Amino acid sequence: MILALLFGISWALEPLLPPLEESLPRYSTELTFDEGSPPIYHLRYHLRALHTSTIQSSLGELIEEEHRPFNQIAVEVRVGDPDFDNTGFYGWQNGFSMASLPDRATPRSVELAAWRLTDTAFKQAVEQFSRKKAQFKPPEDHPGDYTLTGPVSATALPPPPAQHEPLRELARALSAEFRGLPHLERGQVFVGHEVGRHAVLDTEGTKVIRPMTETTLRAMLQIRLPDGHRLVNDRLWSVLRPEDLPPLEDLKAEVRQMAEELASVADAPVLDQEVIGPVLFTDAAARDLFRYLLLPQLEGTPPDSPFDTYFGEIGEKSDTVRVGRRVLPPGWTVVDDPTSDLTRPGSFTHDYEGTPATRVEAVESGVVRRLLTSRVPRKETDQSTGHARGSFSNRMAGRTSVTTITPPRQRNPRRLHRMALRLAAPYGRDWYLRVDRLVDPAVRDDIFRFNEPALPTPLVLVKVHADGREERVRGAKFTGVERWILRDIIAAGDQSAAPILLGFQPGDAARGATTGLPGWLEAPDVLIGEVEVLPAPPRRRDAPVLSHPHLASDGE
Amino acid sequence: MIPLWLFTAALASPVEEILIAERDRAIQTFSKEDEQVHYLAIALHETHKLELSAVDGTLARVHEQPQRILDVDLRVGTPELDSTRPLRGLSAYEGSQKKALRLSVDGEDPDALRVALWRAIDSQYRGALQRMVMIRAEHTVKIEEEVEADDFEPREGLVDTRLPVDITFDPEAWEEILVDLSEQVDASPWVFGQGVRLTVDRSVQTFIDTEGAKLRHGRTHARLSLNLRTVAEDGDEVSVFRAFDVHDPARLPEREVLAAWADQAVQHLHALREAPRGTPYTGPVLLEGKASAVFFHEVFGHRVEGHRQKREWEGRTFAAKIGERILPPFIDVYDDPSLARWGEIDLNGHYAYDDEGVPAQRAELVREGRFAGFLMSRSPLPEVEGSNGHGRRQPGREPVARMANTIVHARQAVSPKELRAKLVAEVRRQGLEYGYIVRDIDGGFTLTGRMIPNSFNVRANTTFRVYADGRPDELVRGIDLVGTPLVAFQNVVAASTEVEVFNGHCGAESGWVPVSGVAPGLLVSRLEFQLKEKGQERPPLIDKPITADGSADGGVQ
Repeated sequence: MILALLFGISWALEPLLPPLEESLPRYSTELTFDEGSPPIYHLRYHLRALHTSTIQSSLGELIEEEHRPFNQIAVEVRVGDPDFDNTGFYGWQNGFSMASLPDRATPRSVELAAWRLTDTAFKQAVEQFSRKKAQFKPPEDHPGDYTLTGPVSATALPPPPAQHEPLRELARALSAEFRGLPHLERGQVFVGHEVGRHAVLDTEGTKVIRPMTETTLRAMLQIRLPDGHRLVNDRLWSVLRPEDLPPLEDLKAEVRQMAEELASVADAPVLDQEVIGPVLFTDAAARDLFRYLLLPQLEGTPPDSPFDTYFGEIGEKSDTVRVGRRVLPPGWTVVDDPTSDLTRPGSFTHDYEGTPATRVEAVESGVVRRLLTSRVPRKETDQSTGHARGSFSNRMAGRTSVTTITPPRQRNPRRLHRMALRLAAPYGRDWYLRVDRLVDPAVRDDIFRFNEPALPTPLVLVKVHADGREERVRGAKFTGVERWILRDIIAAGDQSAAPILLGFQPGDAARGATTGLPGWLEAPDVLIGEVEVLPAPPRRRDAPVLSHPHLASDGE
Repeated sequence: MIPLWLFTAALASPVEEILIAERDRAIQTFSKEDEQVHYLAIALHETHKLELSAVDGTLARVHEQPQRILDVDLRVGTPELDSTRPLRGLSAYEGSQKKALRLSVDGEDPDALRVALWRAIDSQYRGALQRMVMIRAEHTVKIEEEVEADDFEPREGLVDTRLPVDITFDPEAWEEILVDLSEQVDASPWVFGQGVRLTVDRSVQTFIDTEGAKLRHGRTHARLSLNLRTVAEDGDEVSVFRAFDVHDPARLPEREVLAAWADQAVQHLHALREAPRGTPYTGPVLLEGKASAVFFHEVFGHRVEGHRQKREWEGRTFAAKIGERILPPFIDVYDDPSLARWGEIDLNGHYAYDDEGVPAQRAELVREGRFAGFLMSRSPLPEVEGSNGHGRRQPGREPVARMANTIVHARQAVSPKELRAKLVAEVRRQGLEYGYIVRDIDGGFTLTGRMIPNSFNVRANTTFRVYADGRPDELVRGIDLVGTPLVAFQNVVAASTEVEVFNGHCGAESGWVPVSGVAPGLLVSRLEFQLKEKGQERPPLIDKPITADGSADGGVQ
């Protein structure tokens, strides 16, 4: 009905760019204080013109649905010079600013938004520059704050608009699969869809218009058992266009399989002892092991320097990334290439700074050789690898995109099983643990999270016995797991690949069912020599007093 | 035209039957437990909202939002002592189990509703069990509470259906009006930021409880607002907000009226930008009607909310003052949510039933200057009759006593001209150079607790200095009315025959609820102004870009 008003809106990006092209030379020279101030040496605008759809469905019914144009402008103001500017210092009023544009954006609305935003960002940049100058004395080997590269030009054609009706029906149909399940608390499907383009313009003459298309679908099932244990399982699909999603029947089958998987976990006994010994990570759990413990070690943009305030230093983050560090056993390689397959989520030809994306052989023989970088230099390099991404109100950082982790040798499942048993023997056991799936923190409904572990809780955890018998257990958590355990990989198995969502800032977890930077990760199953797994029994106070309506006839 | 009827059909009896069946199943289950549920209410809030907005001369947003929210209120224990009794000390940090649950907007699957009800009811019961353990421990460990009162007032459940009328709305016509208004204000070089917004909503609440209540009622509402912002040369962030609140968008003003309204707002923004900042002051102040209404809302209204009189941390300004004189004898104050209009003006605080299933009714608060009573929810007070239909909440919160349509009535009043003359006379009597007239306000807030000053702040937006020597009135900005309630009330000396209405939304512990204030102009012999916070940024370093036709630099001068 009312949405018809918006369908007539042209979402052409080009007519909105002239005001920004005129603003670049004007504001970069005219924005100044009479009393003197560091000059703007680099000014960049981002303009995103998208159509977005957000759909949430529960048990076959719609909870929320919105389809709208989504237009946004962001500005990055750098004052000083590339060796020392206002960036890389903690603080939220730092010269990076973002604002929504009207759904029916016009050149006039862009002109006004650029005027307001640039003025604010400039003033904040000058203040941030002074704060940084007062507190941060760059060491002799300070690599500088930014790299000027000269102009880049690229123009992507507008992607064809997508129909949202099929997405709505898809969400309904998939969430309907959860109807009638025992112990059900939430059975939801979330859809996040965007299609459009992102323009990057700067004072170096760069004008890059890149496509931004993403359709992300998350099915999520939460149950609460009579003993109070709350279990959550999910599946994520992320593709460039809705038509790239698997056929509905395949999606339904996957969702049913997910529900069955959760039901089998629900039927399993609670882990009743501490287990120290070998653990085999397979499939989604194996990918997550690398996602949480390895990928952050490859993202090379240095963190901000802390800001010393009345409350002490805030924003303190040490640079945990090292070139030359062993992160995996000998023989392993890691390659990140946003351009390798442009049909994959996380792929692109130009990054958010307009830099052409490149293939990076990040890890060779288990040792970090090159990092994924933005145009922020670090000691080892001042070259951007074209991996800059992030949120538009912050400095962009080098992030993983399409990542392939390859072991020197792959063993078949039978061989991995035998190796795991051999490793378990010195611990006095004729069985070992296998983890097939971890809980994705993005689907948890708790708001405040303290002391988040490096590796999330295992969901599908199996005791594998010498005779091949498999026994599922639930109620467990990892302890003492850090990045170092990747050096304790004993063997690798089959490769698997799937989309992932990264947090917008390095080190942040993705929060929200369909929110985050899309990526793609291919990794093998791995056998780790020693992992500590502790019981995490359900809290008795969470046990329902009122029986579930699906079970009501049993008790009442 | 878009009809706002979405949920009228959805509210068929199957939904009500499920609510009742799940209520009964829960009560039956809990009856076998050690801790009994003495009251359970289920409310289904269904809202269909449309929003249109324009900024910078173009359409900013079109948003249609149907929404269904489930609210469960469950009480364990007895009406005398139940799980809602406020906890004291460290136990007060115990978290609430209450959450608003969003339901489907397009389906009738009984299973989905049953699962949602199970989640909400079971989670609240378990939370209530935890609280009861702590509440009983507190009764052993801590001193007795100052006010001994039951936690809940049982009542006989009512059965009634009063669905709001269907309203229609033409978004395309309004889009054009909004964009035109936005373009019009963009022509001013001093309007640095702006927004014109229209929201239209129709909401229906279905309410059932264990006392047999079965209610279906609701409201319709439309708000057209204009928000203008600029920065003065001294860094002060200056804004002007204007709004029309009506029960039906058909009652919004015509386009020509709106154009004049927007022009006046731009002129006022410019005048404020050029005006000097005021300075701290104490002396006579004339509050015109809207300012007077907000003054009563903040200074008085929040302090007579019944539940505050029994909380240990509240200031209880009026708790022991029933029958005492707190205002001049010519002032009456009452709150009456059953009023839909004041004259020709729609009242935002109108409803048929409150959020505890009690009919809206007039609550006498002040009669002939003497304090007469409290705004009551179903949280009883000793020697005070039960609820007067003021238990209110935003969906997802727990209802408490709140204002609705707060009416200040002057039994004796003088014309606005005479009231102004009285102001000048009072200024002279006090030997001051000037007094103040407060014409318009942005809102306000008040602090009612004991750990902090029991004070109020009325956010003055349009304030004039009135000089004793007859110089023209002078608009000033940057000052707010502040004070403490009992002293402020002692100094009300006269009222105007001219009455004005303030429509807005009030935020408190039970969330945001729509409210109105109706009040005459009041002369207060002594009030205090303090400096308002001030922006520290310079105005834009480069002038606002002119529009394509060059009209921006022709704006308001």
